[in-house]
Amino acid sequence: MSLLKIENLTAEVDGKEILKGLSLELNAGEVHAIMGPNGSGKSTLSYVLAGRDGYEVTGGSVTYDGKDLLAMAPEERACEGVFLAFQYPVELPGVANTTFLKHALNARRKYRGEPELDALEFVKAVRGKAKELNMPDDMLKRPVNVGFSGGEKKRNETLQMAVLEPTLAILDETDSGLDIDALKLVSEGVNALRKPDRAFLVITHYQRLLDYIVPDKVHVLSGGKIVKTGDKNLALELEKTGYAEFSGEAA
Amino acid sequence: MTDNVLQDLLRQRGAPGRFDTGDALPTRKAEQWKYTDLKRLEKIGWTVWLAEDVHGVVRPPETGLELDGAVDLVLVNGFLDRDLSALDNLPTGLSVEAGPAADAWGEGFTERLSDALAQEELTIRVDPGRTVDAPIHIRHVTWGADKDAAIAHAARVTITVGAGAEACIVESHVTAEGRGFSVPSLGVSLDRDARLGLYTLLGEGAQSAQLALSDIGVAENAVLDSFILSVGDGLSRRETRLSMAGERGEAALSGSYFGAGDAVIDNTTFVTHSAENATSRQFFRGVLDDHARGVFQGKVLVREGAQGTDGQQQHKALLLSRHAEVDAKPELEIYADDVQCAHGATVGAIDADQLFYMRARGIPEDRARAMLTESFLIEAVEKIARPAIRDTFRNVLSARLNGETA
Repeated sequence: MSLLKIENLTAEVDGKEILKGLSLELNAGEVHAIMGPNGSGKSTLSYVLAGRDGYEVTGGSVTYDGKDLLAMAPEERACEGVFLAFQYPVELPGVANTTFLKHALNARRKYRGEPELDALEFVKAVRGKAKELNMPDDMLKRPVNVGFSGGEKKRNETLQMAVLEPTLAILDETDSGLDIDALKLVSEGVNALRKPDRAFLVITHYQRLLDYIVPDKVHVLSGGKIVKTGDKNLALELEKTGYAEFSGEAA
Repeated sequence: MTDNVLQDLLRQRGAPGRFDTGDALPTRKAEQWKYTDLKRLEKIGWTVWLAEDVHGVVRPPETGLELDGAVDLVLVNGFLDRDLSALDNLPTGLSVEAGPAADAWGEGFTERLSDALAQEELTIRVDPGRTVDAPIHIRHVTWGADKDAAIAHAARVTITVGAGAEACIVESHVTAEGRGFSVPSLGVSLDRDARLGLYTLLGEGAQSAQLALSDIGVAENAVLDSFILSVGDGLSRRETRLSMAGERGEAALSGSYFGAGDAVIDNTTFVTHSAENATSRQFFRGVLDDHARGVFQGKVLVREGAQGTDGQQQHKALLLSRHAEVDAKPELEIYADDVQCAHGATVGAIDADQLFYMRARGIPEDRARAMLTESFLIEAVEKIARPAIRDTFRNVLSARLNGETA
């Protein structure tokens, strides 16, 4: 059984149809990339999967781990193991990074009937992971994403992912705004999390990221549908030819 | 007897004024009272507290603010309770006296009400050059003989911090029994080079009402750090007049408030700069839920000659409910030309992006809202200069937002 099965999904934003019958299947342990031109619906797909208000599903279905994902509130999806790494991580002034992470982790533990971690256990769980991502303690104490550089924000997303240990991670344009060193660091962080019972949906405009996070499959999203699926070589082809081939359908 | 009990109260106490026409009472037509409606007070049969002899009878309720190592001064219905107050071993340089309140009538409604009700005046002095390390905790307690008692009282406190002296004063207000209508007035003067922390906690129940007046003078080179935390469910209006009459004086006048139910929380400030190069900072944050109402009226007046004045004022509010309301009226009036003054006022709802981000990490919506609310208010609490008080106030706020009684 696939971990994620999207069937004929249609969705609209502000009354405008963006996803127009998108279908996709992803198995545990796999990494799939979704590539596509601007406006093809990449971010809409990620928000629909995470359950953001204002992204209205008008048809089709999304089955995650045998459950109806679309029937769940955003926090339920997260607790069930769905993680969206944001393209633009949100700043939370006044909320310390550790406080935020602790609430997130304990919400998930509570949901699963596991005991919540106390402050000491939590610090232990986070510190090692922060170190692997080159994040100084200071970054953990600061308010979430406030005053962070683009690279720091993406590292922080990766840290959250490492701590929350999702089953399905959706990376929305994780490469945007990153220089090559930051890109490598974040990719290494993601690769370290790859394992047989976890799947990744990597959404990107550029092939560059896929040099570091090598996908099992590449899908081309255009005009709100998957129009082509191939292996990692498809990404390299797209890099050469661009999206022109698909732009007719995107219009 | 008319049905306007407040008018009767003033008349009984011999206050001058044309009560028959209602002139002595502010209505919402009066500019200063436009947003705070006193109607809810008018039907209650308030009794003026006259008896002084409650010594040994009253215990402050256990829910009241406790400060470690503080010099507690307990005022019951405006009278100093000598048994509950730590008068025997006052720190060196600190003196506390209670005596009859002066018999005079001021201008304005709150002044008159205070003058009508106040019977005792507490005088606190910090001798010049002395530093009193322990916080001085003025615990205002409302106490009625039974739970139906409606007591009107006015505590009167004057504080003088001598030249070069330093002290920290915390005021808290609790109701032990019955319901209270209190009109506390506070006169504070900081002599030159003095430093004072002045922190107020208001956290009384829905039945309580308070109209408070503070008059604060900051002399040359003196530094005031003040903060008002309002988390009560009743009506509370706090009018603070701050006079920056000494060169290079510095004052912070900030606050956080959280109102739910039918709470009305009014912070009215009037800062006057009349000396050169003085600085005033106002930083207010408020959150209103249910049918609560918040009012911020802040005025900064820079008089002619007060060159180099730096007066900043910021008020931000969050509304958590459709029925909550906030009215903000910032005003600047400037008669000097070399000044830096700014004010800002915003009102909004919880940020949808922030809320979604937190929920996408598994935090339930209610919890996420509570965390965002708290962090919004804490931003003002962080302005408190004294770490111990900052921590205490942060905890009080957190407890209130998490549904515990403050």
